[in-house]
Amino acid sequence: MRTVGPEEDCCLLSALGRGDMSALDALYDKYGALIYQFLILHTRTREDAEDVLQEAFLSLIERGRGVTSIRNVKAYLLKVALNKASHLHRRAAPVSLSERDADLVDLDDPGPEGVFRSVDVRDALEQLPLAQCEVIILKVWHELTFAEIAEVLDVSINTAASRYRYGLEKLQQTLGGANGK
Amino acid sequence: MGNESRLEEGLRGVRLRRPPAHVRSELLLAAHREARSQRRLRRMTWALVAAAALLLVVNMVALHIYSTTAGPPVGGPGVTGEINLTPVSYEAIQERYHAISNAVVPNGDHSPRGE
Repeated sequence: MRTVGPEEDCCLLSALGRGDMSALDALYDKYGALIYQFLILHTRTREDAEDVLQEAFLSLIERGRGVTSIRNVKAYLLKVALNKASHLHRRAAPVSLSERDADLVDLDDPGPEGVFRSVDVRDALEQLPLAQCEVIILKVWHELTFAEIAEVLDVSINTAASRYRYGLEKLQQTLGGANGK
Repeated sequence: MGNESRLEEGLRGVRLRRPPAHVRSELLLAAHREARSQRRLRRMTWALVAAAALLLVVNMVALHIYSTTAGPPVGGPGVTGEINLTPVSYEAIQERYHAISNAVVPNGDHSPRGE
Protein backbone atom coordinates (compact mmCIF):
# COMPACT_ATOMS: atom_id res chain seq x y z
CA MET A 1 0.00 0.00 0.00
CA ARG A 2 1.40 3.37 -0.96
CA THR A 3 1.66 5.43 2.22
CA VAL A 4 4.13 8.07 1.20
CA GLY A 5 4.28 10.13 -1.93
CA PRO A 6 6.85 12.06 -3.91
CA GLU A 7 6.54 15.02 -1.50
CA GLU A 8 8.40 13.09 1.16
CA ASP A 9 11.04 12.11 -1.39
CA CYS A 10 11.59 15.81 -2.20
CA CYS A 11 12.16 16.54 1.49
CA LEU A 12 14.58 13.64 1.77
CA LEU A 13 16.48 14.82 -1.29
CA SER A 14 16.72 18.35 0.10
CA ALA A 15 18.09 17.00 3.35
CA LEU A 16 20.53 14.81 1.45
CA GLY A 17 21.67 17.80 -0.59
CA ARG A 18 22.47 19.58 2.70
CA GLY A 19 24.59 16.61 3.79
CA ASP A 20 22.12 14.84 6.08
CA MET A 21 23.02 11.14 5.83
CA SER A 22 19.92 10.04 7.70
CA ALA A 23 18.03 10.99 4.54
CA LEU A 24 20.07 8.43 2.61
CA ASP A 25 19.21 5.87 5.26
CA ALA A 26 15.52 6.69 4.87
CA LEU A 27 15.72 6.39 1.08
CA TYR A 28 17.48 3.05 1.44
CA ASP A 29 14.69 1.87 3.73
CA LYS A 30 12.13 2.84 1.12
CA TYR A 31 13.79 1.62 -2.03
CA GLY A 32 16.65 -0.68 -1.10
CA ALA A 33 14.62 -3.88 -1.39
CA LEU A 34 13.08 -2.82 -4.70
CA ILE A 35 16.45 -2.03 -6.27
CA TYR A 36 18.00 -5.21 -4.89
CA GLN A 37 15.26 -7.45 -6.24
CA PHE A 38 15.45 -5.72 -9.61
CA LEU A 39 19.23 -6.22 -9.62
CA ILE A 40 18.94 -9.94 -8.87
CA LEU A 41 17.27 -10.19 -12.27
CA HIS A 42 20.03 -8.23 -14.00
CA THR A 43 23.23 -9.49 -12.39
CA ARG A 44 24.84 -12.91 -12.24
CA THR A 45 25.78 -13.14 -8.59
CA ARG A 46 24.55 -11.93 -5.22
CA GLU A 47 27.78 -9.95 -4.71
CA ASP A 48 27.28 -8.10 -7.99
CA ALA A 49 23.72 -7.23 -7.00
CA GLU A 50 24.94 -5.91 -3.62
CA ASP A 51 27.76 -3.89 -5.20
CA VAL A 52 25.54 -2.28 -7.80
CA LEU A 53 22.91 -1.57 -5.16
CA GLN A 54 25.47 0.41 -3.15
CA GLU A 55 26.72 2.21 -6.26
CA ALA A 56 23.18 3.22 -7.18
CA PHE A 57 22.59 4.86 -3.80
CA LEU A 58 26.08 6.38 -3.76
CA SER A 59 25.27 8.07 -7.04
CA LEU A 60 22.85 10.23 -5.04
CA ILE A 61 25.72 11.46 -2.85
CA GLU A 62 27.94 12.06 -5.87
CA ARG A 63 25.41 14.52 -7.25
CA GLY A 64 25.97 16.77 -4.26
CA ARG A 65 23.48 19.66 -4.08
CA GLY A 66 22.25 18.75 -7.57
CA VAL A 67 20.41 15.79 -6.04
CA THR A 68 17.38 18.02 -5.45
CA SER A 69 16.77 18.18 -9.20
CA ILE A 70 15.74 14.50 -9.31
CA ARG A 71 12.04 14.35 -10.05
CA ASN A 72 11.36 10.67 -9.29
CA VAL A 73 13.86 8.98 -6.98
CA LYS A 74 12.46 5.49 -7.51
CA ALA A 75 12.79 5.66 -11.29
CA TYR A 76 16.18 7.35 -11.03
CA LEU A 77 17.60 4.63 -8.79
CA LEU A 78 16.19 1.85 -10.96
CA LYS A 79 17.64 3.38 -14.12
CA VAL A 80 21.04 3.96 -12.55
CA ALA A 81 21.03 0.39 -11.23
CA LEU A 82 20.07 -0.98 -14.62
CA ASN A 83 22.81 1.00 -16.39
CA LYS A 84 25.48 -0.06 -13.94
CA ALA A 85 24.37 -3.71 -14.14
CA SER A 86 24.48 -3.54 -17.94
CA HIS A 87 28.03 -2.15 -17.87
CA LEU A 88 29.05 -4.88 -15.48
CA HIS A 89 27.87 -7.66 -17.75
CA ARG A 90 28.25 -6.04 -21.12
CA ARG A 91 30.22 -8.84 -22.69
CA ALA A 92 28.73 -11.74 -20.77
CA ALA A 93 25.99 -13.95 -22.21
CA PRO A 94 22.59 -13.49 -20.56
CA VAL A 95 21.90 -15.89 -17.73
CA SER A 96 18.50 -17.26 -16.87
CA LEU A 97 17.00 -16.64 -13.46
CA SER A 98 17.46 -20.26 -12.43
CA GLU A 99 21.20 -20.10 -13.14
CA ARG A 100 21.84 -17.03 -11.01
CA ASP A 101 23.21 -17.68 -7.56
CA ALA A 102 20.67 -15.49 -5.77
CA ASP A 103 17.08 -16.57 -5.32
CA LEU A 104 14.57 -13.85 -5.95
CA VAL A 105 12.14 -15.36 -3.47
CA ASP A 106 13.16 -15.43 0.17
CA LEU A 107 13.04 -19.13 0.98
CA ASP A 108 14.90 -18.64 4.26
CA ASP A 109 12.14 -16.52 5.74
CA PRO A 110 8.98 -17.32 3.77
CA GLY A 111 6.62 -15.57 6.19
CA PRO A 112 3.10 -16.73 7.04
CA GLU A 113 1.56 -19.33 4.77
CA GLY A 114 -0.41 -17.75 1.96
CA VAL A 115 -2.21 -18.81 -1.17
CA PHE A 116 0.98 -19.96 -2.87
CA ARG A 117 4.07 -21.68 -1.57
CA SER A 118 7.26 -19.65 -1.87
CA VAL A 119 9.10 -22.38 -3.74
CA ASP A 120 6.26 -22.62 -6.29
CA VAL A 121 6.32 -18.88 -6.89
CA ARG A 122 10.09 -19.01 -7.26
CA ASP A 123 9.86 -21.79 -9.83
CA ALA A 124 7.06 -20.01 -11.70
CA LEU A 125 9.02 -16.73 -11.86
CA GLU A 126 12.08 -18.57 -13.13
CA GLN A 127 10.09 -19.85 -16.08
CA LEU A 128 9.10 -16.36 -17.18
CA PRO A 129 11.13 -14.40 -19.73
CA LEU A 130 13.18 -11.71 -18.03
CA ALA A 131 11.18 -8.91 -19.65
CA GLN A 132 7.92 -10.21 -18.17
CA CYS A 133 9.42 -11.14 -14.82
CA GLU A 134 10.80 -7.67 -14.14
CA VAL A 135 7.47 -6.03 -14.96
CA ILE A 136 5.66 -8.46 -12.64
CA ILE A 137 8.11 -7.74 -9.80
CA LEU A 138 7.82 -3.97 -10.22
CA LYS A 139 4.04 -3.98 -10.53
CA VAL A 140 2.91 -6.65 -8.08
CA TRP A 141 5.39 -6.32 -5.24
CA HIS A 142 6.29 -2.65 -5.55
CA GLU A 143 3.12 -1.19 -7.09
CA LEU A 144 4.83 0.90 -9.70
CA THR A 145 2.49 2.31 -12.30
CA PHE A 146 2.82 1.27 -15.93
CA ALA A 147 4.04 4.78 -16.70
CA GLU A 148 6.84 4.45 -14.15
CA ILE A 149 7.74 0.97 -15.40
CA ALA A 150 7.82 2.23 -18.98
CA GLU A 151 10.11 5.10 -17.97
CA VAL A 152 12.52 2.80 -16.14
CA LEU A 153 12.65 0.12 -18.83
CA ASP A 154 12.57 2.65 -21.66
CA VAL A 155 9.58 1.02 -23.36
CA SER A 156 6.11 2.24 -24.19
CA ILE A 157 3.31 1.99 -21.62
CA ASN A 158 1.48 -0.48 -23.87
CA THR A 159 4.53 -2.70 -24.04
CA ALA A 160 4.86 -2.68 -20.26
CA ALA A 161 1.17 -3.47 -19.87
CA SER A 162 1.23 -6.34 -22.38
CA ARG A 163 4.34 -7.86 -20.80
CA TYR A 164 2.54 -7.72 -17.48
CA ARG A 165 -0.60 -9.34 -18.88
CA TYR A 166 1.25 -12.18 -20.58
CA GLY A 167 3.41 -12.71 -17.52
CA LEU A 168 0.39 -12.98 -15.25
CA GLU A 169 -1.28 -15.45 -17.63
CA LYS A 170 1.76 -17.69 -17.55
CA LEU A 171 1.96 -17.44 -13.78
CA GLN A 172 -1.72 -18.30 -13.53
CA GLN A 173 -1.18 -21.44 -15.60
CA THR A 174 1.97 -22.47 -13.72
CA LEU A 175 0.73 -21.73 -10.23
CA GLY A 176 -2.70 -23.05 -10.98
CA GLY A 177 -1.08 -26.30 -12.02
CA ALA A 178 1.17 -26.28 -8.95
CA ASN A 179 -1.85 -25.87 -6.66
CA GLY A 180 -3.65 -28.66 -8.41
CA LYS A 181 -6.40 -26.36 -9.78
CA MET B 1 -10.05 -9.13 -13.64
CA GLY B 2 -11.14 -10.82 -10.40
CA ASN B 3 -8.76 -13.69 -11.07
CA GLU B 4 -5.99 -11.21 -11.77
CA SER B 5 -6.36 -9.38 -8.47
CA ARG B 6 -6.58 -12.67 -6.56
CA LEU B 7 -3.40 -13.82 -8.26
CA GLU B 8 -1.67 -10.51 -7.45
CA GLU B 9 -2.72 -10.77 -3.82
CA GLY B 10 -1.52 -14.34 -3.62
CA LEU B 11 1.83 -13.36 -5.12
CA ARG B 12 2.25 -10.47 -2.69
CA GLY B 13 1.90 -12.93 0.15
CA VAL B 14 5.27 -14.40 -0.87
CA ARG B 15 8.31 -12.53 0.40
CA LEU B 16 11.03 -11.52 -2.01
CA ARG B 17 14.64 -11.48 -0.92
CA ARG B 18 15.86 -8.34 0.84
CA PRO B 19 19.46 -7.10 0.79
CA PRO B 20 21.67 -8.34 3.64
CA ALA B 21 22.29 -6.03 6.62
CA HIS B 22 25.98 -5.42 5.86
CA VAL B 23 25.06 -3.67 2.58
CA ARG B 24 23.39 -0.82 4.49
CA SER B 25 26.29 -0.28 6.91
CA GLU B 26 28.88 -0.37 4.12
CA LEU B 27 26.80 2.03 2.06
CA LEU B 28 26.50 4.56 4.88
CA LEU B 29 30.23 4.36 5.56
CA ALA B 30 31.04 4.96 1.90
CA ALA B 31 28.48 7.77 1.74
CA HIS B 32 30.07 9.56 4.71
CA ARG B 33 33.50 9.26 3.07
CA GLU B 34 32.20 10.60 -0.23
CA ALA B 35 30.43 13.52 1.43
CA ARG B 36 33.59 14.39 3.39
CA SER B 37 35.72 14.36 0.27
CA GLN B 38 33.20 16.59 -1.54
CA ARG B 39 33.29 19.10 1.33
CA ARG B 40 37.09 19.10 1.22
CA LEU B 41 37.06 19.73 -2.53
CA ARG B 42 34.58 22.61 -2.13
CA ARG B 43 36.76 24.22 0.56
CA MET B 44 39.87 23.95 -1.63
CA THR B 45 38.04 25.44 -4.60
CA TRP B 46 36.89 28.44 -2.56
CA ALA B 47 40.38 28.91 -1.13
CA LEU B 48 41.83 29.01 -4.67
CA VAL B 49 39.23 31.51 -5.82
CA ALA B 50 39.89 33.73 -2.78
CA ALA B 51 43.67 33.58 -3.37
CA ALA B 52 43.26 34.54 -7.03
CA ALA B 53 41.00 37.46 -6.12
CA LEU B 54 43.46 38.66 -3.47
CA LEU B 55 46.33 38.47 -5.95
CA LEU B 56 44.37 40.52 -8.44
CA VAL B 57 43.56 43.19 -5.87
CA VAL B 58 47.18 43.39 -4.68
CA ASN B 59 48.38 43.76 -8.28
CA MET B 60 45.91 46.53 -8.98
CA VAL B 61 46.88 48.41 -5.81
CA ALA B 62 50.59 48.06 -6.60
CA LEU B 63 50.06 49.32 -10.13
CA HIS B 64 48.11 52.30 -8.86
CA ILE B 65 50.79 53.17 -6.30
CA TYR B 66 53.55 52.85 -8.90
CA SER B 67 51.79 55.07 -11.41
CA THR B 68 51.06 57.86 -8.89
CA THR B 69 54.47 57.97 -7.16
CA ALA B 70 56.80 57.75 -10.23
CA GLY B 71 59.31 60.81 -10.36
CA PRO B 72 59.78 63.45 -13.15
CA PRO B 73 61.45 62.49 -16.44
CA VAL B 74 65.33 62.20 -16.35
CA GLY B 75 67.29 65.13 -17.93
CA GLY B 76 66.89 68.12 -15.59
CA PRO B 77 64.51 71.05 -15.64
CA GLY B 78 63.00 72.02 -18.96
CA VAL B 79 62.76 68.45 -20.06
CA THR B 80 59.15 67.64 -20.31
CA GLY B 81 59.44 64.16 -21.61
CA GLU B 82 57.54 65.13 -24.72
CA ILE B 83 59.06 64.79 -28.12
CA ASN B 84 58.91 67.93 -30.26
CA LEU B 85 58.82 67.02 -33.93
CA THR B 86 58.51 70.58 -35.25
CA PRO B 87 61.24 71.25 -37.84
CA VAL B 88 63.89 73.68 -36.45
CA SER B 89 66.70 75.72 -38.02
CA TYR B 90 70.41 74.83 -38.06
CA GLU B 91 71.16 77.64 -35.58
CA ALA B 92 68.56 76.37 -33.15
CA ILE B 93 70.06 72.90 -33.30
CA GLN B 94 73.53 74.31 -32.63
CA GLU B 95 72.22 76.25 -29.68
CA ARG B 96 70.62 73.13 -28.20
CA TYR B 97 73.81 71.16 -28.79
CA HIS B 98 75.87 73.71 -26.85
CA ALA B 99 73.30 73.74 -24.02
CA ILE B 100 73.40 69.94 -23.68
CA SER B 101 77.20 69.87 -23.90
CA ASN B 102 77.50 72.42 -21.11
CA ALA B 103 75.18 70.38 -18.98
CA VAL B 104 77.18 67.21 -19.55
CA VAL B 105 80.72 68.61 -19.55
CA PRO B 106 80.85 72.09 -17.91
CA ASN B 107 83.68 74.36 -19.23
CA GLY B 108 84.98 71.62 -21.47
CA ASP B 109 85.85 71.63 -25.17
CA HIS B 110 82.52 71.97 -26.86
CA SER B 111 83.68 72.48 -30.42
CA PRO B 112 81.85 70.14 -32.67
CA ARG B 113 84.08 67.50 -34.09
CA GLY B 114 85.30 68.20 -37.57
CA GLU B 115 85.03 72.02 -37.35
